[in-house]
Amino acid sequence: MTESTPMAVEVNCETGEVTERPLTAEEIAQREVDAAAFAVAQAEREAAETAKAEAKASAEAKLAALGLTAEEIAALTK
Amino acid sequence: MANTYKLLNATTISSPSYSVTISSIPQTYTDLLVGFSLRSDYGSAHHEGQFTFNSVSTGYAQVFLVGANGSTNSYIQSGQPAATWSLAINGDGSTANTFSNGEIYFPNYSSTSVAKSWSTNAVTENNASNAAQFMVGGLNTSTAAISSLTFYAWQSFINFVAGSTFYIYGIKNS
Repeated sequence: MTESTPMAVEVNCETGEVTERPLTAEEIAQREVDAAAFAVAQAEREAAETAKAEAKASAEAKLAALGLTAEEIAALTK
Repeated sequence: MANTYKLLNATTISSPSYSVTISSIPQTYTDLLVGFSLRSDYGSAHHEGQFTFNSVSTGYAQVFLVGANGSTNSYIQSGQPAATWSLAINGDGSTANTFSNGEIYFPNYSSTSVAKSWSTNAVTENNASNAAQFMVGGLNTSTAAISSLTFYAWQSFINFVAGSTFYIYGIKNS
């Protein structure tokens, strides 16, 4: 990663003019807030997926303990 | 059904850049297509990137289908963040000099009476198993015509690298 002030590229679609400028402090702060929020959302999603997988594995183990075959368990969970 | 695609602008970045804004997008088309080919200086094989339109900073609703490294997942973004995560980007951990590629389609982008929607279909490149497939459906209640788009590589100090390119196409049905 480049540890310097981020640059912004601005393009006028009609004229094709391209300018470059450093980001403002406000822009940098906003992007950091957004990234943090997304990291939280990702963690929540991964935790939910893990919990779901663990619950499924637990349920299948209990069914197996009751004597169901793997094919019977698969038929129930489809 | 669209039958014309006109290239309005193609911008290739010549030095590391945190964001790219395309402004003054003509309003004389019905739909807009953004093609992209992107790589960042972030250390992963791939990651998601953001965009906003018209500097709107709230209310981006989105659903995702993501495949990577042998697994697939679908999820809905919780909350409605200040930008949509609708780019797939090759990170610095992917094979050197490879770039993601994809497109974002905006139907009715020039309408001033309907909420805005878009879809992204993109992949990253890697000469290894850890490449990503990425589809996003997004909505925002803003009814303003889309006249500008700003793309972000990710959080601060992560940049699009030189060679990253955005293509803007206008689409008409006649």
